[in-house]
Amino acid sequence: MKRTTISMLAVLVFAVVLAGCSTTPDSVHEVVGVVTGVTGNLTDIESFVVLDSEGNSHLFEPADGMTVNGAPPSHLRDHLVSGETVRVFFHEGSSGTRIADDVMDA
Amino acid sequence: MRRILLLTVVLSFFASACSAPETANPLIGIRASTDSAVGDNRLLFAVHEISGVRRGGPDEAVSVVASPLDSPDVKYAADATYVPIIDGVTGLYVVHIPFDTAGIWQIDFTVSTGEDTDSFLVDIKEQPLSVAIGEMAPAVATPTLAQFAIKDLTTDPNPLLSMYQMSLDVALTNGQKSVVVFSTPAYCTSSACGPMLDQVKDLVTQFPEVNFLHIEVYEGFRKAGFAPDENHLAPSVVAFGLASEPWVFVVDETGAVLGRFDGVLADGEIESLLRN
Repeated sequence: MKRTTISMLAVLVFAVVLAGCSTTPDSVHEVVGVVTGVTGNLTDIESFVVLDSEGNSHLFEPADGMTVNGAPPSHLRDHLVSGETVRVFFHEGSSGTRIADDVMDA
Repeated sequence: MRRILLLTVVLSFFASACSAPETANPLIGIRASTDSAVGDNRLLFAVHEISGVRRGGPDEAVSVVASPLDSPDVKYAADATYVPIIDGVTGLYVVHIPFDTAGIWQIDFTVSTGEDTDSFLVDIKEQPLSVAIGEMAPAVATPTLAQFAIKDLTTDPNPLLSMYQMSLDVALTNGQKSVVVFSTPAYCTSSACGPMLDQVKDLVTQFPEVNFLHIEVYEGFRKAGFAPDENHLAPSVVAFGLASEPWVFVVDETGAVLGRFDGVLADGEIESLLRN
């Protein structure tokens, strides 16, 4: 009984560790980081860049209807100024471009 | 016991295998200026930890060395000034660099804490998107208190009425210097609109011979169905070519732009232009 319990515990911990450390699965695309650049005009943005905690920069184009915490995309400039981290949910476009579907506070 | 040891080793392996590679974790600089061009010498930037924690403050002195990427031997050094947007919450550094050639510039910075930093790049355009220093400011008619109630002229919760009494086209031709603030406290895409407007309001009584105007970025903001979109941009905002907000323009007695400031104002930046 004791051995069984230890084995089950080991398997459980093993599974938890694997799940916890795996990278984001293909079906869920998201990046968390700091907004380091926004291009566009006052009312629309063309692209934005997010720097993740490992130092990788990610370039995104906004999808039609993309919001930033429910606000228009131009509110990404607020994150540029405030420095608050964001979580970007995205899909890859046909040309490999990353299309941001939604942006939330991280 | 052996089983527990084995488990420990296996878990350690997976833990190390999936952890991120070690990095030096330097501080990063993020450019906040939105429309830099040759002739501007003003750069706004933020300092962050890579984890997203915002850094900076009056106690963290920052010095900058800037070089054109294609002429790394040319170096300009300057100390940056921390400018709070909201005291104790957030702010930016402003530094004055003589950006004399268009292209990509590398900005290296050091912080008084001695922490490692990563350089960052800024693009300096030949011509800015908005009205440049030395150009004539567009003399556009803007709504005033003679035509509208104050609530229809501003989203500032504490408006200074004198800033809405004169149309921009009149101000630019009455032989006095003008300070023109484009900001929209209620619909700002950054947190800087209200604070920047407040900074300018504090100057009004110090310079009674200067025209001070606040222009909302959008028009029709009290009407049903309003949205802060391109269909509601104020004509003067379009005429000035603004790609972000807030902005302050200082204009001389002839209507030519003396200074242009986006985002935040450091102490004395506007005053020095008005006193000269």
